[in-house]
Amino acid sequence: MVSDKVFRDPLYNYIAFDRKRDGWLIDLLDCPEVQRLRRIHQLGVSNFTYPGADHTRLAHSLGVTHLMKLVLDHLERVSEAEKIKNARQALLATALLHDIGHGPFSHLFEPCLNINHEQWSIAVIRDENSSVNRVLRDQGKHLPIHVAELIDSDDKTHPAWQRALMSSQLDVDRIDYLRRDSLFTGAGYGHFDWHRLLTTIEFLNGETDLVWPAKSALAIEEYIFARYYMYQNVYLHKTTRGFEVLLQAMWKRADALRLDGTDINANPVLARFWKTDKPNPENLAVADYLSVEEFTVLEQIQRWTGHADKSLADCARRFLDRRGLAMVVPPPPPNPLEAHDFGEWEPALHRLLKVNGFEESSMYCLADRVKGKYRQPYREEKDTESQSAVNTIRVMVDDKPMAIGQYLPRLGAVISPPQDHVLYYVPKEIRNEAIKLSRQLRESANKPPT
Amino acid sequence: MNRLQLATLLSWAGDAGLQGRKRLQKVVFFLQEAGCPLDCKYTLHHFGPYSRDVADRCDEMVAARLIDETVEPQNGVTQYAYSLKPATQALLANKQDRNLEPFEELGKRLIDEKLWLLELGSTILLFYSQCPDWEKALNKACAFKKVDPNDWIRKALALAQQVKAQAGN
Repeated sequence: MVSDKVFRDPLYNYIAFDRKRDGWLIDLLDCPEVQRLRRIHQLGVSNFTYPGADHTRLAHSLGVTHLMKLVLDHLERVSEAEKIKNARQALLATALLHDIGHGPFSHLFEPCLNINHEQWSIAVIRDENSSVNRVLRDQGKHLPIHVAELIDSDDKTHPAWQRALMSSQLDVDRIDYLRRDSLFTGAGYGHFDWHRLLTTIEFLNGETDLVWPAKSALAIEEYIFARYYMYQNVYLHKTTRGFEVLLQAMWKRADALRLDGTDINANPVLARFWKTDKPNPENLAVADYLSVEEFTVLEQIQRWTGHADKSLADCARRFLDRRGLAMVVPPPPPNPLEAHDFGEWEPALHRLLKVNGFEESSMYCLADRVKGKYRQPYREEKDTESQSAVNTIRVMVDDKPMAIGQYLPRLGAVISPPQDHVLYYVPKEIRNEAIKLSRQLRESANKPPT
Repeated sequence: MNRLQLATLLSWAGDAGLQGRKRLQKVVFFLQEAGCPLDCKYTLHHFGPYSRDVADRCDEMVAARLIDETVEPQNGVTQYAYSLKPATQALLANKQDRNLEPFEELGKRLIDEKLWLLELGSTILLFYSQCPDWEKALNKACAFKKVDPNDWIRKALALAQQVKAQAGN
């Protein structure tokens, strides 16, 4: 009798791996590339706003693996067991490795480094020199490729149900991060009947697509609302977004100086990373990519606090001291067809900054453009023929799949497509004047022409 | 694809509007493949190339009351049509995207094209963009759409080739 490998987890209490059946996952977990996820904050700089949000990508990845195990156990019981068993290894590995390519501070830092974490996840798994590749290969020659294909959102090699469990409008990744982010931020919005969602999912007419029975509709509704509240209160929190745009502006400034030939006092790891213009898997070794960690970035920012470039040093200091920028709502764009052109607003804001001593005004007039899709807790494809488990959550009504938005029309209030959203961030010193300026421009736009 | 670009494209459809979400998806895909700078990410879906960027922009402009969406049941399936609201037409009269002008003729032709030809042609073109060999792309598209090569499929291939040729001009 071999005991389970058990982890304590604040969400699930116990996460247990059956050593006989899934014991190889422990070898995968012990790989350095997976352990690196311990040093990546799940929520980037959200801990600037929510001090408890220090949880990591590793805890999340373990949680996702646990949920994947639960849903596979359920599907194995209620459907064609062999089909599920054959995909079990690949799906559990995908759950554990899906975030392995994340860089420092998760999503928010990707534009700074000009990287795409999905591309790097695939590269790490395919790299024959990586430990995860070796562990996967020991389980099956084709396993690394199967896992990489499941992570690749453009790849359609495997049945829709396998892809949907991992990445869709309602998947194990989203279920775990919503609940985990809710718990660690303390925001408390991520409550929904996740167990029902995982244990009532079924195959559509025994095929490859997935649906839920109508009795799970309320659990789905709860899930959608949980996402809505988490987006409003946590993911798009104005303080967090302010630090994100500050970090990105600082990095952009450093890039401009570096490309202009200025010595930016790069630390050795980033100096190596910056040797290539396009840091993708074709141009950069996996090991060099993985060596860029949060502590590398923080150490670099500390170096910049003493840099001769005044604005770079000031932004670095502001970031480390948590002296963020203040949010200002811009006036509406003069032409709604050009939603990103605010007319007089930006030039006037730059003048205001310069008058107040912010010479490098582009560093202090930061637009945060959030696409509508990132503010939408759930979206579904309207065209019924184009719907699948990947793009639409559906429940079975009279033996036919129906989109949840159609089944519960009251959801329309939270799932209607929001517009792209632009907010500006400026130093707190000029916040009041910027608000006044925005108001003036808004009022003059509303005046009838004379 | 930004608002101005989608508004311009819908203006080419005239008062009748553009019929169907699938048609919109395929027209944008063809235009992009012809070199039109619409910047939408496409993946292979049930009926060929599908872009969430296109669906999102369209839904967002409907919600912003810039586009009219009409819904009609047709053969048991909901049929959507999209046209510009009069106020949006007025805005467009003052502001044009000059980068789209060279694609107007092609766009109008695609908007009026048979839907199945758009579906099949765009699928061939998607496979061609992954591996630039027309015969292989044609065979892959036939396998994907579960159809045998015939005269109609040759027409779809010709459409895909014409569009690709425009990108080279």
